Amino acid sequence: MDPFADTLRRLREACGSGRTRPAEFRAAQLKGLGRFLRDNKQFLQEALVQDLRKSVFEAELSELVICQNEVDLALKNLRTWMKDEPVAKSLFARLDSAFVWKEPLGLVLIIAPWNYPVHLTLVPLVGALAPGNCMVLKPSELSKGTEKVLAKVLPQYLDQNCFAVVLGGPPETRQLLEHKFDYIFFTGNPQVGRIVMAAAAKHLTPVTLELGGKSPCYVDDDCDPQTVANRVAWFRYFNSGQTCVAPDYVLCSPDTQERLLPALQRAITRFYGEDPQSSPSLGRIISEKHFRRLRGLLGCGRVVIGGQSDERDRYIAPTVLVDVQETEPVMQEEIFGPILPIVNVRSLDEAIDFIHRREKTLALHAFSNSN
Amino acid sequence: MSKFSEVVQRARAAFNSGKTRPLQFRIQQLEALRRMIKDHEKDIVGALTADLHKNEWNAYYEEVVYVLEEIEYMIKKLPEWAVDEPVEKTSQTQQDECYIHSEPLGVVLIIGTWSYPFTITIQPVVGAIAAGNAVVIKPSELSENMANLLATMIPQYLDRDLYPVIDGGVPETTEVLKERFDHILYTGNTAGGKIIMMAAAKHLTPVTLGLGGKNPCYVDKDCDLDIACRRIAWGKFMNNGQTCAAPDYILCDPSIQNQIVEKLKKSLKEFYGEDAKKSRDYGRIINSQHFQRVMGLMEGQKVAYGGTGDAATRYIAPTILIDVDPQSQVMQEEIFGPVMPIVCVRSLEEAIQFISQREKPLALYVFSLNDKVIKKMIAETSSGGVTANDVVVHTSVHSLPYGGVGNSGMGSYHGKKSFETFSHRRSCLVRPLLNDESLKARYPPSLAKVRGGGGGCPRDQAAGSLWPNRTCAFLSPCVLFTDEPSLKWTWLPRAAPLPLCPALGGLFLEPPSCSSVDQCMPPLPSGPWASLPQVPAAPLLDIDQ
Repeated sequence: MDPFADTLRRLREACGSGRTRPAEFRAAQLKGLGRFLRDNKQFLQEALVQDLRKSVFEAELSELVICQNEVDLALKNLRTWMKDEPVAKSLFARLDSAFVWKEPLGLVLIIAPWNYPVHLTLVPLVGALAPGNCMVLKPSELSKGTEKVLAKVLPQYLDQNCFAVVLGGPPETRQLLEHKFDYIFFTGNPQVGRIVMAAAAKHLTPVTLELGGKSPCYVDDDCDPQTVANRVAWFRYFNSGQTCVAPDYVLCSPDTQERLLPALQRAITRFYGEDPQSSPSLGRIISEKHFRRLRGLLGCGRVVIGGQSDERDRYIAPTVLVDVQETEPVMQEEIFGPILPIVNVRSLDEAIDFIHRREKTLALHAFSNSN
Repeated sequence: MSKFSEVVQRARAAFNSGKTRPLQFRIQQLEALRRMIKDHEKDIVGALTADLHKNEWNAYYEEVVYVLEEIEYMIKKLPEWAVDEPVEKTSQTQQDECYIHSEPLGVVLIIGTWSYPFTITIQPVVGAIAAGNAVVIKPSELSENMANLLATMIPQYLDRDLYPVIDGGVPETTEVLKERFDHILYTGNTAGGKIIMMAAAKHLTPVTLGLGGKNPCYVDKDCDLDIACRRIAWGKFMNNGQTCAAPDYILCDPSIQNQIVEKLKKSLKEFYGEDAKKSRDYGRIINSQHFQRVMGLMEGQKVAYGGTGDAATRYIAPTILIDVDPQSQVMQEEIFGPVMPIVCVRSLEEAIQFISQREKPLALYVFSLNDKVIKKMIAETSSGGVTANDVVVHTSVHSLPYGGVGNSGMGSYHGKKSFETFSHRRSCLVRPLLNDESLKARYPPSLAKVRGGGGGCPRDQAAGSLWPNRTCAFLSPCVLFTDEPSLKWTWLPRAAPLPLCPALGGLFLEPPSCSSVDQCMPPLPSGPWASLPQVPAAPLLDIDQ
């Protein structure tokens, strides 16, 4: 029994019908998405509170405003982006017209994660809508509040011949991936990324995989520790550390570490108060499973800031660890939580070697006054 | 560890040493490649003749010249392409440097094919070298002479660790695919493409797949049939039909089918004489297996020209089939041989529907004097690329990325696109490490932006709050963010009482004397936020003053 067959057939028919080709249709879809964001701001905010205890401020900054901006950008540039792109011609082709013509791929599958469940769903959606594709959206089942808004409310704003939301966990996603899509956009972890690409290979479906990694953060010796600490702490503890591009660990000299630690403490107190657990600005861990994983990491190295946790609340305090060994779990897996290990290196070259020995990461952060 | 592991590890170590980073090194390697081709032109042509019965002229003009052009273009443009590319900045990043930095991916595997065993293997190598990668080169074993030549020749001119040539067939390729690469470019068939992508998935290796397809060629009634048929015959029968971008079959109105046959025949005789077997310009099928396959496709068909073959020499006569049934075998698989079926359709719409119902091909061809026909055909079908009023030539324009879509492949290359395909285009933002004043608004606790009257305490203007005991907006932890014009108040959560009160002109206040922290910071509400009360409109006061 294939729960997706009918939906996908309907969408495929729409792909073939040419319905999505005119710019007016695509602009109408984008405007629909814009209206969805505006009309349902409160529902979305509530859902984000429910899922991640995301403060409204964080929700605005990292989810809703970004989506609205992407919709506006696409609407503004749609016709330009759709235009044929003339290319340089060789002497041989000088009497010809040579250009790149843009066309939709067909049926696009977007598999979204739970950490920025609005942003990481709707921004790719804008990207799929603008070229005129039909879309299937598979929101994360872990962020249940947002999943519900996307499944029940979003389809009302888009042409349902060309758009569908499907729900489910890993078994349903595997079943969905047996079908043929013309593009798959996946955000998640590398293990699942491999599964998605292998499934895509069976149908020769091109993919975009946004995965994770341990994004290093190098801090040079000549930096103002408070400025660095503010920026690092801000993004490390934003969304309770559940950000793919957050600084995962710091690389610095022991001297810089000495200067950074009090600065980090000051930043944390400024942001979240003396009792971060009661700060409405600090989010919560998405699930019990991730909470337990993170709590396990608190045993690595030595806790110098934070270290508290509360299972009932899925709360982990903004934490800094020192004296961490490379072999410890906190340096083996992407942390994805409000824990910041500091690893000492004696020079920039040593930092570069350290980074080179490891897998390539999604982001790299470097603080220095020297170009 | 297999012998391939060692080769790949050596290539990786050589890459990691950083020696491919300087542009000068890459240009030197490309110049060496160019020297190799010029020094060994005769050997290259000899291998192409032995493998595919190409003569010097078509070996040079259908293969060698493209690679030489690619090298020239790459050497000339590399300094321009390799620099950081500044991009448009947002309002928040005006003071910063925003650019895309191109860097090599690492170790690239290029798997060539036998139909253009020199070009298809070496042209992507040019791009991969230019982008600064190590490149493991695997020519097709079916074009044996070229494979042997490349294995001998390349190590004499290029860095042996960085650009190894490996040989072997399917078992060896399977073994190589267990190694980890940073990009794989494969040219071949659909089945092979799936195997490559599956193997690549284990290492999350991106792939460029140049696959095949049945490239349709629509001939409109409104067109110069002499020119059209000559061009079609040229593109179809070059290399004995063994060209990924060749027109696979013709779609036309039944009323012009006979004319097309006659004009194709005329061109074929001009090109190859009465007996193509004697022509030095007419190729041969690569091997017996493919010979049998192509001969089999003609069975049961109405042959208007040709239709014969000679297994001993792997010669198949230039063949035209008419009134072909779309369900027949010759219309089910890519022909890749000198057999041109003609399928009749009654209109452009029928042709478009015919094409759209099938897998997306690598190329699409349309011949018409009517621009509207061409535009409609492009707009309502899909394919990797298009040439209108000619065939194949879009693949020779280096500014047009060459690649497939759907079953005909993914990714593209040639010219600048090669450089981009084999690079990681890394998004970079560099900001000054100045003090944080300009960024403070983004840090929690979010500063209250109070839209209040000019003077007077905002609390007097608050109609209500989430927490009935709190009347001061600054001491309220609740949140109401809205851009609804009638709601001008914005309240924000705070961890600690805010020290500033705009109504008092920015003076610091002592923290309110609460008997417990809870009074200042009640827990977040669990009910729907929609129940937040409306507050009256008031003009804006900015706390940052």
